[in-house]
Amino acid sequence: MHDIDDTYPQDQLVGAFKGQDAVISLLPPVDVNQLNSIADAAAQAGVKRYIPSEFGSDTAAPEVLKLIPMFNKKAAITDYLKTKESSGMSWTAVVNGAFFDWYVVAFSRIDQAWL
Amino acid sequence: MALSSIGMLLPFLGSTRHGSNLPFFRGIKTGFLGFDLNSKTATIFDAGDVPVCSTILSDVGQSIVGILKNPKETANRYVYIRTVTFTQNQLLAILEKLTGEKWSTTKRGTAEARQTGIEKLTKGDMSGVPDLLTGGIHAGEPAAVYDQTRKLDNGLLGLKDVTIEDLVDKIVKGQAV
Repeated sequence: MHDIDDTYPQDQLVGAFKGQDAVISLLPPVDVNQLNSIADAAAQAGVKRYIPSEFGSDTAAPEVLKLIPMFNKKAAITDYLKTKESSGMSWTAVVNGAFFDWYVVAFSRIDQAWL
Repeated sequence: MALSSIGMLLPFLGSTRHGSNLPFFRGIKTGFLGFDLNSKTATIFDAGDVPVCSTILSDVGQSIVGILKNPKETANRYVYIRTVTFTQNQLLAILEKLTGEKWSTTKRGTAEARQTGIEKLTKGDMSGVPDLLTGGIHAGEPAAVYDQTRKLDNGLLGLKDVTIEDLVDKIVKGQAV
């Protein structure tokens, strides 16, 4: 388990990613530049597969981006990952719709809900 | 290519960097997607008859395993999964049947929810996220549902078929899904 500083410095990220075949990001898709830097670090460390902070609506559909503009950030992240393909790092984005566990809330701890 | 070593990036919810996301997560305690089992209340968006694709977290986990087991077939693309597709009215009916109680409902319009969300987010108010999200995912295809228009990868990624009745039954009984 690696603790990374809140500023996500490149050297700490590359160090943490070295030796990993795949990296999955569960970070909220808010700071696109930061998330793209993280993808850069993963590619630099030789990560083979990157799974970004998607896990929601079909952001590959332009109509969805129009309806829910905040998803443009997710689309920007995927677009950036496409530019990393030539470096040897492939990506997979998971569209799963709404989390069913968040539909019917039976628990009361925020951290359980998030994971 | 065997993908056996995995790194996961998780936000530390206590950090100030992600503090702005906390109002969003706090909403989960009261069922921000509309249905609160604790209080037997539901917010129904529009007429409640729009199908929504939804996935349980354990299936999301399984899909990641499936991606790593099938790297060639999943390279450089979106994968589409879902556990169940249902309308809010259907979910409400199942919940009332399985809890044996009539739930109280509030109505909300998806257009108003999206509008409110966008206004809040423009001002940097992250509590606009649940407004925009709920207003979007209940507004219809393709934001709500994609299982008729996209090829599902459920089979490829090893997801099993379940019914929504089974899921809700387990949740109502306090069991894991």
